[in-house]
This record gives sequence, structure tokens and C-alpha cells, in this order.
Amino acid sequence: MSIELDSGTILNTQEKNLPYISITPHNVKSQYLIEALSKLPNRSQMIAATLDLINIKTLESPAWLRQIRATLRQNNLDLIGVFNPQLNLEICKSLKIPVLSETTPHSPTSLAQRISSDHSKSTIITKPVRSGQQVYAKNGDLIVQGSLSNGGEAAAKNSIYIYGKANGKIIAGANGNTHARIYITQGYPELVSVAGITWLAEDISTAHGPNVFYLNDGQLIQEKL
Amino acid sequence: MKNATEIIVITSGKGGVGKTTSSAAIAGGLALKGKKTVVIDFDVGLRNVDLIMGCERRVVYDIVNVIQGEANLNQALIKDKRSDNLYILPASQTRDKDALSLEGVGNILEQLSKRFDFIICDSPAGIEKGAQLAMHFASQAIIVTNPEISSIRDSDRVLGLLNSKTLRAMKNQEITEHLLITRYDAQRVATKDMISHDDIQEILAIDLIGIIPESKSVLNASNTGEPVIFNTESDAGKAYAETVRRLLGEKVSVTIPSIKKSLLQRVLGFKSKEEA
Repeated sequence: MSIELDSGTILNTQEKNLPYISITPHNVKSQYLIEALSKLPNRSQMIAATLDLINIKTLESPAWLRQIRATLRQNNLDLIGVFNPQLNLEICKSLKIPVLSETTPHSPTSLAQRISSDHSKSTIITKPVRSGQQVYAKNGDLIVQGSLSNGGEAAAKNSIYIYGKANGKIIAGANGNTHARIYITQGYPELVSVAGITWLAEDISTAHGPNVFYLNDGQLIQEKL
Repeated sequence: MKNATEIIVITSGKGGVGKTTSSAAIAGGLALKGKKTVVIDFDVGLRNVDLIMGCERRVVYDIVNVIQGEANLNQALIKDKRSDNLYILPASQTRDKDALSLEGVGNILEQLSKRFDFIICDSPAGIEKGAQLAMHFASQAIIVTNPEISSIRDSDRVLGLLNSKTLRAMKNQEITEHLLITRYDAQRVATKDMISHDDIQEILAIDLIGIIPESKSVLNASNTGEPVIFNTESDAGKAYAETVRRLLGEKVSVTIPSIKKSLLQRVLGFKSKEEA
């Protein structure tokens, strides 16, 4: 839900039901913000706020930002970070306000090079995932065409399919999707987890060959294919 | 115009598997084939290449001096006595890895690229700064692995770094990766005390460039400061020579070391046949 005020300041409560609001101030007058906050229907449920400085190229002093933070605090909202700091980066740094970025945080492996298509929700990895590497398909399924070595990690929002030897850690349904599944063709995983329900190597039956792991009534099930 | 210089990093993650021995042998082999070759020792603080190459008494300036502008590159390069094509850029013994910088290493490699066909970067063990700098600019990598599980695991980790932390990986370009198995003991592989080359290859999933058998000639070579490849009689020397040919693109099939019977065994074998 998004409220646009006359002043042009936009308040946006997140669609994902997360208890924070994002604020995009139109100019540097903080009374607009107080006005905007008073119009927010479910304010009591909110615990945090982000600030988007896209319309404010440069601040003359940190005073404004400090005041915003104080106003938010009076409304029981924590300022967790700033988007698009533009020329205000140093001010944000001096006030120790984190700068947020819409793009993915830096991944330990150069994930982008391995993702064959940005449009597809599935992430396809054609190289082996080696010891110490992590791959994370944050938007959907993860398909690994190579092997997953001991000490490597494969994680996905939804299901994971591994066609090489699966000897590392496999974490499906990382955002809580209980319908996610893990399919492996061979190997002995160090760990499997579906939506937070986790088995270590000793819980996994060592039946060699293709296996699937899924949740049934909150119980993790291993089935030979 | 000269062909593009190949920068080859010799790395492993684990220590003591034979990186420096292999660096010296492969560099020597390339020089014997008429290629202008330089070996750079990245193991600042634990300098070894000069010992294996037998030039430790000729080290005056080193890579740290060059990076810090205290000497120019020509002053630090040592020409090998055996070959006009072979040079060594030694590491400093009195400093540590923090004395190296990405920019400094980049500059040195750029200057060397104008003069040499092959630059062999002998990586220190580990995955810290020294090892990462050694691999950063590489176009090819030789992963030295012993037939032993911790060495294989560490090699796997290093391959992961090669595919994510190096300049080529960041530019989405391929690094050619070669697997070199060292200290291979056919006898112990036969009795399943050692992991076979097939299994190693299956775990690491990269192309095999050579198998160097466990050999006394390697230790002798190190102690006398004469890279083992110059010993054309030894099995290890022959295996390195074969590796170099494959590195240069020749299609030679990899010789798998076979079980050798000692003189005593042969005599006993002969005797038992006689008895039978």
C-alpha cells in the first residue's frame, strides 16, 4: 500500500507484510513526514523504516537526517537504512546509517556469470559448485548440472535439482516454502534442509542413487526414486 | 610480433604437495623447449624457488624491492645458469605477504609479459593474500594434488577461488585449469592405501596434465638445486617432460605410473618361478 501526500512525500508499506515502511521524502521539510506518519493506518504494527533520498540530491548538514531519525524514533520506528544516498553518502556514514541497495548483495562466487538467463526464475549452474562456494537461487529453483563438492553449499527459494554428485549442503525452501523439494541423482549430502527442517549426514540414509527429499506434515521424508 | 604471454599459476591450497618442485621443473622444461620463461616466487617470507633452482647465493634484490621501487626489475631477475631462456624473480625472505600489492604485482607481470613467453607464478600454500595474488592475473592454472583426501579437498577449494576471485573470473573469461598429480605411488594405489588418479579426476572434474611418480630423484634434485626435469634419466624427470609437452599443446597420452619391483623382489620373483 502506498500513500502519496500533497507534498509529494510517499509512504509505502511493504507488500510482503514485513513490518516496515519505506519513506520517499519529496523535499527537506520534516513536518510533511510527521503529517504522513499520522495518516498511516496500521502504524502500530510497524517497527522500522527505510528512507529513499532519490528526490534529495544533497543535504547541507546532517541536521535534517538526524531530525528525521528522531521523529521516527518518537513514532517507535527504527531507521534501518537509506536508499539512493546520492551526494549524502558521507552524511549517512557519519550518522552511521546503513546505505541499502536494491541490487543483490555481493555473492561469494560470481553467481551472475553462471546464471544463464536473468529472465527465468530458475538459476542454472553448469559448472561444479566447489568446496567453499555458495550458490543461492533467490528467485526460484536451482538446477546444478555439475557436482556439489563436500564443503559447498546450494540454496534456493524453491526446489533444488542436482545432476552431478551431491556431496555438500543443500538448502531448499530457504524463505520458508514448505512445498520445495530436493532432487539428487547421486552422492551423499552433508546436510539437507527444506523450509528450515534440517537433516545432517547421519540422518540421511546412504542409499546410493536418485533420491528426493520433501516435507510431509512438517516431517522431512527421503524417498528413493 | 610475439605471441600472447601465458601466465601460469602453480597452486594447491595445501602445503608440501610439490608446488615449488613442479614450478621449477615445468619452468625448466619450457626453457629447454626454447620458450622464454620466468618463475616468480610469491612465497614472501618463506622463499624456496631459489633453493630448488640452485641460485640462492645469487639473490640480491627481490620482488618486494621491485614493488617498493628500491630496485628495477632487471636488477632483481636472476638468469639461470643452465639455460639462457630461464629467469627467476625471487621472493623476499625478510618480509611477509603484506609487502605485496595487487597493483605492484600487476605492474611486474605487465613488464615481464613484454619479454617472456611464459610466466610461472609459484603460489604459497593457503588461500590468503599471497596465494590470491599469485593466481589473480593467471590465464592458466596447474593444480598440484597428492593422492590423499585433504589435498584433494583443498584443491577443490582453490578451484572455487580461481573461478570467482581472479581477474579472468571477474571478467567472465575462462581460466584453463590443469590437474597435476604428484607423489603418486602405484604400489600404494594398488593396495588402496592411496586414491587412484581416476577418483581424483572424478572429484575435481578438470583435465589431467600429468602424473609425477613418488621418486627419490625429486628430493635429490631439490637438495642439489637442479630441477628434476634436467635429470632426463629419472622417472619423475620424464613425467615432468611429458607434462610440459602437454602444456605446449602436444597430444601425448598421460603415462600412468606402474608398479616397479625392487631388485630383491625381482630376484625373489625369479627364484620362486624357478622353484615352481
